[in-house]
Amino acid sequence: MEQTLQLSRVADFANNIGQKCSELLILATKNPNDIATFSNKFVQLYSELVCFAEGSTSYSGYKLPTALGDGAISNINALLSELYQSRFACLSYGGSSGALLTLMTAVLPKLHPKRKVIIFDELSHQSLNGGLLFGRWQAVKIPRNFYSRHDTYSPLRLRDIQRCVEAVGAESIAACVIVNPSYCGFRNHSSCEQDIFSYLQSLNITLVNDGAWGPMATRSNAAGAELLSQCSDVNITSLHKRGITGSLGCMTTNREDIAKHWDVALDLGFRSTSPSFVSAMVAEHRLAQLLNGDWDEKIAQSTRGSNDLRRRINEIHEDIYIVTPEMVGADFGDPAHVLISTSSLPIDARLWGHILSDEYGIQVEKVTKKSMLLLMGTPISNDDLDFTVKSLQSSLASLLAKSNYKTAKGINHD
Amino acid sequence: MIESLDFQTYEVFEPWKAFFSPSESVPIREAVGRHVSTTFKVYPPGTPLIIQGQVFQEYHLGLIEDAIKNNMTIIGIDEQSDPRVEVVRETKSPTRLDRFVIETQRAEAVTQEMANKIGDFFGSGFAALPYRQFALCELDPFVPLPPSLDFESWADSYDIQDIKRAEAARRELLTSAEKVAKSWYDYKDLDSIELPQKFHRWADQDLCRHAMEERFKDSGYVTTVCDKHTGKLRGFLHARICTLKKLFETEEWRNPWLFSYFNDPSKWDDPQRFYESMFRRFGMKLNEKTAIISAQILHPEAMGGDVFYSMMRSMALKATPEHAALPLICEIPQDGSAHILNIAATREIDFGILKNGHPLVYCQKLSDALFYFIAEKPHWRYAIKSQIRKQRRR
Repeated sequence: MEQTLQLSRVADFANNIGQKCSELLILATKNPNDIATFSNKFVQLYSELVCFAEGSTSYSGYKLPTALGDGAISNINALLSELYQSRFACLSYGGSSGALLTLMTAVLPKLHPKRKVIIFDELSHQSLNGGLLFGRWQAVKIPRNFYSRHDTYSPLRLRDIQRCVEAVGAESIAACVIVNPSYCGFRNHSSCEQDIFSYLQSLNITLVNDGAWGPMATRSNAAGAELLSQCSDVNITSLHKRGITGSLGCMTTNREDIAKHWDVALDLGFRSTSPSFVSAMVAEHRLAQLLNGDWDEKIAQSTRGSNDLRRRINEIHEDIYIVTPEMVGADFGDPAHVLISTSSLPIDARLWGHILSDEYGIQVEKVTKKSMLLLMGTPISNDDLDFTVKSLQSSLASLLAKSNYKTAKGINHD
Repeated sequence: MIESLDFQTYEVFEPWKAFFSPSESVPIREAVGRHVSTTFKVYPPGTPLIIQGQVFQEYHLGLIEDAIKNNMTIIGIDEQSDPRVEVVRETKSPTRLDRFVIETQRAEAVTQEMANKIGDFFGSGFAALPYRQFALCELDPFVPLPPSLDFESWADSYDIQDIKRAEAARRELLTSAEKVAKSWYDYKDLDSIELPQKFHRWADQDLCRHAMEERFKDSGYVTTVCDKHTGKLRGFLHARICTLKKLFETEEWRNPWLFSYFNDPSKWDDPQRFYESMFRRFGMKLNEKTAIISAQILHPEAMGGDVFYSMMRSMALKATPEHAALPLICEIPQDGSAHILNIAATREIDFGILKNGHPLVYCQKLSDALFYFIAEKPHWRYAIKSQIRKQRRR
């Protein structure tokens, strides 16, 4: 960032931001109910900020993203490679969804004449669906073990894949797309993942890992689990899920043939020709921070926050609980994923999710009938955590009051 | 306590075909069993329940109805009050099976006319591919007229000195055999082919008719495949129940030339050797009742796994519990219906019992062998296929 933002204009830039923010502050204080005017001003500020930043950026090194190319975007790719310890990495301006679509539509068909792709229940990205459609693949769907008590799936097992490959025939299967960690953040021990990878490699089946829900399985906090980029032919991930930057989807691979086909695909239109250089600049800066350890404290803070929430779960209600990896036959759980089970309560957790979102402004990552997933990827202060716990508590209480629920102890939660 | 549903079923589908195919909107309840042409998501959580090309099932219907009841947002259905969904328009292209009527009747109910028809079909089928049993030469009577027949000995035995004449006769005979094998000749056409001296037809019309008539007297099942439009017989499968002794005498096991006027009793199999082998290998006694797949012949138009499967299924569905409990034995001609039974459903295959070298397969129960054909559940069929694969590897 230091190299690209023109030093001479930094003071003007900061001054401009200060002025606009002051205007917003005055507006919000004087007339807090005039949301329309506030929104207009905010959008104006944001646009000016972006325009200014774009104008202050040195464009010289910013070539379009490629997996093999050079230039400043390649610096980002190099940083991603280092972070995920893969030979090649490529930033995706379409996020992880765009990366998966590129892979399924324009890269995988070039690798295999085979026409079947193994997918699982709980499809990863919608773009996998698009990739199957536009890549004209035959899909072979394996039902995963479903834990109906928590409305969640167990991590992948080698034997499920083996049975399917034997039933369908390895000679017709081009790839297997797995979602690891699962949507709810569960993951198996790395030896299980390596076994799956080795098995599929021996049969010339490309293993695609949609790792968008576990972007932090990086060198800095692998937490005993091996890097996903080492247990698959291609790994798709999205660091922004952990609040690191605005949008940072990427593809990592150790295979040169995949990287080459990737670049061809990008040239054919699988990228924007007018990328946001500001986003790239921010991504570069954040990646450097991640690698030199500057961001470690933030990650630790977010992990502390999610652990604290887990500890305080009974403050919310004594009949809800955290779904642990062991409960679903998993070895690990991503620290940022907090899956709360409401299976012991006579409520539809989806209604709880609605209340939290509509009335308390708390973003729920995923909610089903019996469970709710909170993604606590961003650092959280103690005050924020208190607010979250209280919000969860009161929203649940209001929902239970409607159902006149009594606990085993006979206490009416209203 | 871990709750899990561990189905071993693999749905194979092509989303792009469903996506690009013409679609129609149907009430949600009528969509069950149809391929959907859109993605369904209940929000929250918003993950697809089903995607293009998958079959809409009761399970999906239940989830969507539950979501409607709970006022959830559903992406992929039109009106929540009168939910309709887009499914692939059915433009059912006729399959090969649609050309045929496949039905099974008890052997006792087969009419004389039908028995003759089947007898003729049997004889024609014997001469055609894959059996090629059109003619035999007395000098080498165990083999049907093949390119490997020792024509030189034949020419010598007739003292045909003229090499050109011998060669011409050889060529003519082989050409006829080839034509017969490929063209599925009717009896009247077969009769017009003149065979040289010492050559005989494998299956004579009268003998075939008589043999069929006799066989149909035993309790059993006759599955016929008829062309829906012309009514012509295009295949049949006959399973019957009788004692081992009767089978030895009425199948081609004792006398390989059972359907031919050529006969050489000196080369018939020894009953004692056969019975001893059957007892030693399968524990079967002389008067023990058993089921047998007595014949399975298909016209080239009807050859293929789809017709075969439907025939076996049709027969399996008719089998009575009493018959299903009997052991099953079946001769497998080298080039014939070896696929009639699979090794997984068969207890043993033995190559050393019949004099003609054809293996006999043995299965402890007829029901074991037929189960595959009536297993509707995909995971049952998958389990059977896995078993077959394992057995083959061994």
